Amino acid sequence: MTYLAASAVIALALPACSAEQEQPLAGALATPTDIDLDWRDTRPGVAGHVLEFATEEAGPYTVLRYLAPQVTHYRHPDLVPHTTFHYRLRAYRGPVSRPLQTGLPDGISFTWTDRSADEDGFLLEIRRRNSDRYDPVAVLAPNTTTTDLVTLPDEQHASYRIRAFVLGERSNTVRLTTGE
Amino acid sequence: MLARLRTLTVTTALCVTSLLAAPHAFAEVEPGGWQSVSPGHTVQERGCGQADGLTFRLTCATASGDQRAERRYATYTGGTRQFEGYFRITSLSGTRISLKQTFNESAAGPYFMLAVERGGRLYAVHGGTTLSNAGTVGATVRVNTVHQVGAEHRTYINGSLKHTYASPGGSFYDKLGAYRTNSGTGPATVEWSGIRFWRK
Repeated sequence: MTYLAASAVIALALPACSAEQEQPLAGALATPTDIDLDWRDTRPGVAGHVLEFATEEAGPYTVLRYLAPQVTHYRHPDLVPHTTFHYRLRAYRGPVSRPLQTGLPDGISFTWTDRSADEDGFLLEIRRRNSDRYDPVAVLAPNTTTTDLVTLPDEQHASYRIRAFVLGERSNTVRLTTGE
Repeated sequence: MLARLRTLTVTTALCVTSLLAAPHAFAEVEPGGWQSVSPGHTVQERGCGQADGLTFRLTCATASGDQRAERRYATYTGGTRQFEGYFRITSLSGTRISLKQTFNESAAGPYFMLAVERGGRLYAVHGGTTLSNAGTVGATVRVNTVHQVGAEHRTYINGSLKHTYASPGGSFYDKLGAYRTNSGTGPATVEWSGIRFWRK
């Protein structure tokens, strides 16, 4: 019973909706029109996060970026002044595979087999030269089995993989109003 | 297990309180005195352009002539206008397709054109400025434009200011869809959603 009470006190002491320690999303105004977002998520199996924003609490939310699991910070820059922004984070999980690659005049064509039945989509992930991690570079609809990537110079000699991803639970929502 | 449930219950209560306490939300960006408006529109299909609701297709790779499928909204003169919409490119075998235009009716030409290159680069056709690389196939992108007629036209991509352009006075109108630019070519399919307008 004592433990129950302590849990309740801890939850009340934290900002609204942030008591789930797995996904505490925090935000702050770095300048009147730049918002910094930070989080930490070390749960096993988490393959990355989707960061979303909206200017109405009920949405619609727009994806800002799919981010590798090592990424724990994002700056949303040059924002609309005197506007309230809402942010939330969503973890995703899923297996990776090596796609077949075919060269194109302006990029690379990828082909793979869809072995998952319930994916929310596929991520094409890239590991650039001199990088020690894979970052999402394209988001594809469920049941997709091919895509073309128009490559930038540092993407032509990189390593690629495909992830069938499933979205997980949403984080707390961070609400901040820009100034200026 | 009980402790865990208790913690979650308290947290949920806090979330609900937060929602209830939130002030009335305004969708439009930038401060002050916006009034929602609903301008009428016509649909324009030229060449291999096909419009189906808010889905716009260029079905050919023709690199010349008028190839477009668009909505043309009603003309406005003076004041400040705001446009908001979300687009998603569902296929782009071609390149350099204009997605959104602010047309200067007084000068009989496009004044601001937001276009996409194969690969996802969003750019301003006049001047070539890169606005963002967010226009990849499958990604939903939010666009807000604020046009102070006779002063300035600002473009926000996913909430961030990406382009500012001096504006003359006169009559203007908004267009959206898929439009082959002079150096562009289809095929392309673009889906727009959440189209809203305000004035002040």
